[in-house]
Order: sequence, then structure tokens, then C-alpha cells
Amino acid sequence: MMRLRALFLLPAWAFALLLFLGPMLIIVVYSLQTKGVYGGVVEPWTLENYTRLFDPLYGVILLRSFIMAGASTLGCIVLAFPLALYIARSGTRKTLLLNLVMLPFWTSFLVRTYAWMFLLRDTGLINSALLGLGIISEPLPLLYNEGAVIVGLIYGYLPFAVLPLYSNLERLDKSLLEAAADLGAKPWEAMLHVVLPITAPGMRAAAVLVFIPCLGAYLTPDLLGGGKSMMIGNLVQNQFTSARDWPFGSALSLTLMAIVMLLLWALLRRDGGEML
Amino acid sequence: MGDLHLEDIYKDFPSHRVVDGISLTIPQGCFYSLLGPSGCGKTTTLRMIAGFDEPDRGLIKLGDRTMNGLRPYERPVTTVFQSYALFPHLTATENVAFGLKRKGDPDTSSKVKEALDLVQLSTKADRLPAKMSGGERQRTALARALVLQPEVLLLDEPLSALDPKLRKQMRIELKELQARVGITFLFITHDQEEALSLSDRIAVMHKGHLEQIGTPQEIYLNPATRFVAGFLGAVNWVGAVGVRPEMTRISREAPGDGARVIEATVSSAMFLGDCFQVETKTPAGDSIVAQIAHGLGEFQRGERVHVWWNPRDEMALPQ
Repeated sequence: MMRLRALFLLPAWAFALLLFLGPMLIIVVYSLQTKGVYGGVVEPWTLENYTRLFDPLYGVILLRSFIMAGASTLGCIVLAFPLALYIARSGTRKTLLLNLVMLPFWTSFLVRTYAWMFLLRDTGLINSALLGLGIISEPLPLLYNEGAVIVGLIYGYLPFAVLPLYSNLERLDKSLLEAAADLGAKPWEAMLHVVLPITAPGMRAAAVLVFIPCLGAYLTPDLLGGGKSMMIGNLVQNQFTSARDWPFGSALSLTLMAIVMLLLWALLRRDGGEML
Repeated sequence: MGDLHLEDIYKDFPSHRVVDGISLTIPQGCFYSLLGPSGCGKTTTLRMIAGFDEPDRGLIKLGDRTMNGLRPYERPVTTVFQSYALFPHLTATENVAFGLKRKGDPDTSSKVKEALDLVQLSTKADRLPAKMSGGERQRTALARALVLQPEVLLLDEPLSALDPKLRKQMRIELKELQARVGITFLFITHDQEEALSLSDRIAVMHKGHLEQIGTPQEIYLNPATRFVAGFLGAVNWVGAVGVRPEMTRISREAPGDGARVIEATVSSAMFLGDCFQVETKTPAGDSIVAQIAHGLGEFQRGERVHVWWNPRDEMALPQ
């Protein structure tokens, strides 16, 4: 019995070790070496890639990444909460609405991000419409700035916020709201004192699920930010491509991973490990 | 303050009519039970009084104030829910304080303490619902509803989630509590024993209608319909006449004059601890059950006996 179980688990373990732990080890090794002239890594071993992280230049990018990811997370939760509440109370149409939330996943993120460029650029749908209606005389600068990146990130990760909030709100016992009303709470008071505190774990889960991918995003800032509002993801990408500095890129991505794991650890400790 | 009046209340659900023309008056300070099987409309009636549902037709009045159209938070009525509906993120104290805080009551902490004392929960005041026993949850729910000093306290099958022993103890406490606070209690139950033992008055509901309103003795001893007779206890039906097993006697010799007698054959005899239950078959095929005290003889299966009762104990209820 034991041997059979081990046999069936073997592929999963082999997969995880080779394809998950393997690349990770390679990154650790790279991050401790010196950059080669045409990319790649060479001896000697060094910690310099990590000390370079304290350069204020990179600090700014790191800080900007946190602010952008934080703003996107906040935006996602503010938008997702009423949506999730609405879906949770939609009775038989729940499945349909949930599928609509997931619908964007049916096409590639890249294509959808290009679609946003068509919406936001100077000659895009929004500016053309506003110009056509005579509301503005000059195109609004909607694309290639931080605002565009945040809008794009919110759009991309909204479903990740809707799903955990939905599962929390769907489980919320309706009689609790009746009890709140019965005890004199107006609807907004019931929302504030009953629904929000009870769904806090769902909100933290949503925040983690949105914040982590936003922090490491590189496609959205690259395309919608026009390379002007660089985030850590873009920096890492640059090191491996144009800068040909694989060791520093590796050190950056490991640092990003360490920060994310610290954040997760702090949150999980708070929720007693039951968050997700 | 005042009596609670329901005047000709109707409520339809998409598939059927749940409450079909109910009128009743619940006197102020009364322990009043709505008794009926599940699906009889009693919970819907409670929800309309609380304001969770609106009647399609009819008036709900407290004294001379009309409750129709008022939101639940605008009604001087509170509820003890069947599932208790305690706020899981709040301690017993915070649950009880919830309503007072919404009103901004300046004496919140002293009133909460008093309410917890009233239900003997002071030592568990800092517990979250998840850490409470069933009885503690029930007491918290009671304190939370009572602390607002409602004009009517609605109790939706509040004892049904408790184990039988605790249920009997809480029954006594509930009765004492009501006497102490003097608030009108409207108690919803499907358990006739609970209703009989607790209530000043009982309204029996069936299929959205009121079958009978009366004191426990009245509805038990003089049921208005066969449904009431059968719902409140076992009945032996002989033609148009019903008699309760505990009023039915069995003897080998014919009883004296004045008794209603049927000759029958014993089909089973069971010892129930506090009595014997003897089931007999009449020549007409009716089954008559008698509960007889110890010392009134033991009967064997197949034995020919006289089954009899005092005509005074008969319930004349044509089908």
C-alpha cells in the first residue's frame, strides 16, 4: 500500500524537484556570480549583486512597484467587494455571473493588454469619442503613465479578488443580517459591523492574490506604462535582456521572492494559517 | 406598549399560500405560543411580525401603532433565532452590546452586564460563539434580544437545537425569565409538550390557518378539531368520538353504570416505565390504546377485556 502510494506520487515529486527547485537553484547560483560580457555568468563568486540592491536608483523602482501594486490591490478590492456581494446574492444566476468574471481568461493577457492600448491611446476609442462629442479639444494623456498601468493591473487581476470574496460572502449566514437588522442596525451599519469583519479573511486572501502578481508584473507596465514607469518585473527583464547582467537579475528576483514570502508569512501567522 | 394584533394576515410564496387569513391578539405580558407542524406558516408569521417579511394582506399592530412597512430595525420587537444567529466575530458581551451600541445607549456596559447576569452567563462573557456550548449560545441569544427591552420577544424554536436534557432545563428557565421581565413572549414551536408546559395561551396552526386558540388545558382537553386533538397527543377514535389513552381504562370485569364500554381483545401490552401501554382491537376493527398505571393489573396478548372510559372525557369531533 505504502509502496503504491509512493509510486503514484513519484511523478509529482520528480516534476516539482526538477522543474521547480532546479531553476530556483540555478538562480541562486547565478546571483552569486559575475556577469559575462555577452550575458551568462562567470567566476568569481561574489555578493556584489546583492549589495547593489541598496543603490537608491533601485530603491525608487522597488518603492514604485509597491505603491503601484498597493494601489491596484486597493482598487481591485473596492471594485470586487460589491461585485462579489451582488453575485453571492444572485441565486440561480450565480454560475453564469461567475463565468462572466472568468471570461477574460479565455484569451491571452497580452492580447487583452493590447486592447487596452487601443482604448487608451491618443487616437483610441475613449479619446476619439470625447473629441467627437466636443467634450475635450486635445486628447487626454491616458496611455503611457502610472495611471494606465494601475488601470491595466486592476483589470487583469480583478477576478482574483472577486473569487475569494465571493466564496466568503456566499457562505455568510443570511440570518446574521436579519439579526443585525432585528437589533436595530440599519443596512449600512450591518455592512460595517457584521459583513466586513466576517469577510476580512476573504479580503486578506484577495489582497494577497492580487498584490503578489501585481508586484512582479512586467507586461502591463511595459506596454501601458511605455517603459516610463518601470516596476521590478521590468528591471529583472532588462537585466536578462538588454543589460545582459544575469547575476544582478537573479539577485533581484530572489529578493522580490523573499519580500513576497515575508509578507505571506506575516499574513498567514495572523490568520492562523487558514487564510487560503 | 400594548397588545400585539394580527388582523386577517395573508402571505403567498411563489408555489403556495403560507399564511391564509390569520387573526389573533397576543395580550401584553403573555407567554403565547404558536404551535404547529413544520410548514404550517408559524415561522412566516413570526418573520412578518419581526419585519423580515411583509404580509400580502392584513394588518400587524402593536397597541394602536401599525407595524406594516416598518423595517426590522424600526420595530420594538426582537428575535431569538432558531440557529441563534450570533455574530461569530464578537464575544458574548459584544453580541449583547450590539443593539445598544446601534442606539448609542449611554448605559451600554451596565445594561449588558445586567443582561448577562439575568441569563447566568457572566463568567462566560468574553467567549466567542465558537467556544460556547449550545446552552451558552442560547443564553447569549436571549440576553442579546432581551437587553433592548423589546415590547415583544419573538422566539423561533429556540430550544430545538439543544439536547433533550438541556431542553427541559431551559424550558423552566425560559418560563421563569418571562415571569421576571414581564415582556410579551411569542414562542414558535412544533413541540406540543413545550407549548403546553410554557404557555399562558396557545394558538394551533395548520396549513396556514388557525385551528384553535386557548389555554393549554382548553386545547388539550377540548380540542376544536381532530387535527388539534391529534397534534397535542394520542387519541383513540371510535366513530365520531375521541378519547385520550390516559383516560382509557381496561378491566376484565364489566365496569359500573355510566361508563362507555367496548369489548375488545388485547393485541399488545408494553411496559413503558411510568405505565403500561395496552393496545386492543375491537370487533369493528378499531384500535384502542390505554395507558394504565401500575397496580391496575397486567394483561396478556389475546385476552378478552372491557375497554371503557368516562363519557365526560370524550372529545366529540365528527370527521
